[in-house]
Amino acid sequence: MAHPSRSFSRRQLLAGGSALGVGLALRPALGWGQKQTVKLAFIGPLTGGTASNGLGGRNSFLLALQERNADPKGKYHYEAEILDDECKPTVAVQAALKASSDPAIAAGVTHYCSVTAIATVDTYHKAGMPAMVWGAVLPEITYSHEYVEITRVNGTMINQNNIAADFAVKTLGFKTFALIHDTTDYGRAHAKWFTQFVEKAGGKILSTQGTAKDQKDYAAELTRAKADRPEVLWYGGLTPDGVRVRVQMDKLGVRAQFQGTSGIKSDTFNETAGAAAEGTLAFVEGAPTEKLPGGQKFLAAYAKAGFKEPSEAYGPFAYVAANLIIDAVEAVGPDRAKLAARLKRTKKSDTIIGPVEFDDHGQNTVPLISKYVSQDGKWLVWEDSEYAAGKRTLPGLKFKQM
Amino acid sequence: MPPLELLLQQALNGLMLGVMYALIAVGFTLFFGVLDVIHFSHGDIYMLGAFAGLTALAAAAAGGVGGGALALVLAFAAAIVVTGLIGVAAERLCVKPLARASPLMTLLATLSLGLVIRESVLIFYPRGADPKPFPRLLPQGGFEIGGVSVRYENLVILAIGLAAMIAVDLVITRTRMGAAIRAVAQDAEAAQMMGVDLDRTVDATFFIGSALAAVAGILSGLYYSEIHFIMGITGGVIGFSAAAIGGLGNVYGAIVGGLVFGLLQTMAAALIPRGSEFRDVVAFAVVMLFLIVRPRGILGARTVERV
Amino acid sequence: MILVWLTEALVFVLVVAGILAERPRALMLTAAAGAAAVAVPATVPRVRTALTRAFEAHRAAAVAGGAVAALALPFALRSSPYWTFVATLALLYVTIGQGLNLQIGTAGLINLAGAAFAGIGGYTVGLLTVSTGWPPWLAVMVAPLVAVAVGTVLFVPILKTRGHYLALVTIAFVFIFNVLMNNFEFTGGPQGIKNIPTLTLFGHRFTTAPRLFGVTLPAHANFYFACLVVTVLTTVIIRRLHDSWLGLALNTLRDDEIAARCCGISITRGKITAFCVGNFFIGLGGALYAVMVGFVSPPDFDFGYSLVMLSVIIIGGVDSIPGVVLGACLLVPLPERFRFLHEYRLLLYGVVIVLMLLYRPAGLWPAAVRRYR
Repeated sequence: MAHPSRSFSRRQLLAGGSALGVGLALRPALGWGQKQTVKLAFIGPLTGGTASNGLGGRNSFLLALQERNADPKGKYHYEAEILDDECKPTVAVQAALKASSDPAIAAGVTHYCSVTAIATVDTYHKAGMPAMVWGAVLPEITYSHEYVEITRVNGTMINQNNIAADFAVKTLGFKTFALIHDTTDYGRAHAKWFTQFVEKAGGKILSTQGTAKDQKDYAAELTRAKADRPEVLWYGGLTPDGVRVRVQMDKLGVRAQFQGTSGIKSDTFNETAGAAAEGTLAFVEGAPTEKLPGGQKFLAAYAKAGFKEPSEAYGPFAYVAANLIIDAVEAVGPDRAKLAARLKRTKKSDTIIGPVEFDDHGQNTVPLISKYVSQDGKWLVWEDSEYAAGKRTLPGLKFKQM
Repeated sequence: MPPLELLLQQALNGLMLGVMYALIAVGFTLFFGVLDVIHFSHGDIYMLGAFAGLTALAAAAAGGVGGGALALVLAFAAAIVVTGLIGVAAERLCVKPLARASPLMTLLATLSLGLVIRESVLIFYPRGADPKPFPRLLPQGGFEIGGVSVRYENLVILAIGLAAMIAVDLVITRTRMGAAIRAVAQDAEAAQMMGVDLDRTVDATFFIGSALAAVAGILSGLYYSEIHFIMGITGGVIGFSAAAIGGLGNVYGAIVGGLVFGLLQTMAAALIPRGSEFRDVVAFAVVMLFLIVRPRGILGARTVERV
Repeated sequence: MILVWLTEALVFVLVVAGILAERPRALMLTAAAGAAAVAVPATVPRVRTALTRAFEAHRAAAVAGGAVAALALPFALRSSPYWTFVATLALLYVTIGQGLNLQIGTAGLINLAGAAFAGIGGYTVGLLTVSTGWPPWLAVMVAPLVAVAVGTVLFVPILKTRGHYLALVTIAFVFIFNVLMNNFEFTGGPQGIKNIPTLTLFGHRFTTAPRLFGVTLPAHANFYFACLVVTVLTTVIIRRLHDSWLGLALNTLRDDEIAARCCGISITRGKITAFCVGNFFIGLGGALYAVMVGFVSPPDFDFGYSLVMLSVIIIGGVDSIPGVVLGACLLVPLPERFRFLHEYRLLLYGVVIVLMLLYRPAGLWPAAVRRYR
């Protein structure tokens, strides 16, 4: 049994000023007395280039715990164990081992980077700890095994690229594509699937270039891609690099439509790319948070909790994962084996990311992929945008007409 | 083989990259000259320079001097002073106390200091984990010449880079402080006997080197319209490589080395199939081969070993 | 002798308590006790001399006590597979550190490619076992030799460049290694090589939890004991080499190549020997890592890990064999212990390294002056 003051002091430490709000908000819970404490782990990148996504996920996770702890009907008191995987597989394995070998931890909401999620799958399985992936999109994370412990709330990149390619080729009528992708699992696999679906839809890939993650200068690659005069420049990678590619396209006069993957659909992309972000396309699994029942409430609660960092695109997934796990704990208690079995049978139709139901591999059968376009510094669902309404024209279509 | 105008375009791309590398490399080489150390946190000082410039621009905008040349001049001035002083602080704290110990000590100490600088920006700069937009203060248009598109921005950046290099050259060759720096680089003990204040000279060197890094940082911000706290990692390794290709201790060598490295990276990505994936392999392999053939760099002094 | 054992027992208890203490009160108590245990001998000269004298007089007893403590550690940590894993990792860093120390500390070859050579060891095991079906133990034995073989690529730079230039060549080597592993198809690209089979000994698979003296230990304890054996062997071999004429010759050429040549020492042979022997043990560490974790991928062997290896040597004490042991046993577990600091952890790590270098530039356990009796 943990000492009551501990959860408070720990929490203060774990996120400094930002989590202070959470610490204070948890205060009423200090007087719970009889409730048994259940620990839940959150693992994600809190340092390094993808830290903004990790921090957004962590905050959303903490928000879920905070809300459920405030619920007087709850049977348990939930405590967070936050671990940093630095987006590196070795560190992730150590973090996974740390979480899974602590018997007080019932389950975890784990990993944003594909490379860390795939590396730790066996660790959770061996320890029998239920782990729900909240951000990594590599198909193999769920499809390379049949472990009961592993589930994933977000979709894989396969559906995403199918929709993305069909939309670009069939709906918008683009025919030629130049691909740039980062050389991590994420970028490479996206490029592979996107190529496959574009060719199936009748489009043509003119060139594919891999670049190191966190590369600064894309002038050489863009100049090379520009020579083939593609209608679409597609980037498979995460926000910081996506911003660079987009901004440098303008500087080098690459006159093409810019299209990205789920990795660039972040507030940071719009903020950093500024005017250049206008008309960028991106595709994300699930429906937009603000449109779903409870989505607005989530965003409002997130804003109210006073976190320093925005929730980013995958924050809602971490929030839902935490809630699903808590639902299961309330139903069957904190026993790991029972919990894993229960989680796999999850069927919930009204989460803020839409209905959640897992297939045999623990993969959420996400029925929906949303198309986004950046308009006036915000990501809008394509159907709601002025581009779809015909009031504005995508930059790529303008270039085509010229 | 791609057509000529494409090659020229790529050469321009490489040149832009090379100018920024050169400015960082000059710092490495200056520090090596006076103290015989590699100041590995210099890459992160460069990053700090970019953030200092951004902060200054934000302050200028808040103070009503938003946009235009004046804000830019203010940003350069503020970043140069702040970054220069931080460079001196880093030297006093972490480099000079260990200068007499084995080079390993400074290596590890400055690498760790770089980590501290990087993490501090990540944690303490508002939303430091994100890439930051850098204001576009330079004229945005451009023109085409012989199939190569040139932006006014490129020309201004090249001009500022060149001006910074000439300024450093003038300081080193024409001023008393420059003479002191050269004297210390040649023989610190003899220089001291001739009345050169070693501490002041070292401080001045670190100020100049760090100020150049700040210039490089701001130029990088202007060129890419975006800065990020991790930009110092590669900036540092490449700056060191450039200084080493040029011959450590030789300012002109560092400039040449920077340009060579920029061109190498760009051309590797431009000409080789799957080149973009292997551009760093090519660049670093050339560095390795080069150091085997000329272990002291292009312009490194050829010393005769005395027994 | 009793004093020696008592001291060792006290250290052992403190270490275990320091690792396992969870509640703030227990943690504070342990920290206070640890601080006292360091402060008392540091400030009271009588205690210090008594301890040194006792340890000098009863070397054999001290070693035996240390051995018992090392063997007992997994029993003390049996509730936590995680800490058993970290302890094993520390042992691997001792092995790697000893190899690297022979290069950097003894021979003065600044090799910042430690991560790459460990990676070559790890990837060799992965490729041989997964792609070609070799038994893991054979792969682990061959992997260090492959690391040595690949190291021959660097022979020319090692002989022709020195100091900072050599540092740069080795940094370039790590970067190249990393990009190649990430971009080649046969190395599994960014995903690396997964499902590397584990070791077996007399039919006992290393992934099954062992039962010793009626106590069930976490599965990682298998690797702990195996790595303990390897680490002790490595340390003994490196110590022998260091104390032999070879070590002396390497020290000489490190300090003054010209003088060394005048004494009839072959610089070429000395440097190459040190480099190869060092790479052997670094590769061995990497190979064991691969079978322990069960997968290898490029980010496991990036430049950052070269730095950890370098800090192990420097914080422990350059050219000091016990220093490497101490350095690895502090620098590997301590950052893990401070995981609860999250974002602030790396910042603090950097600050601590800088402070250590400034205030203990010779390391925690500086190399002793050579004595020949």
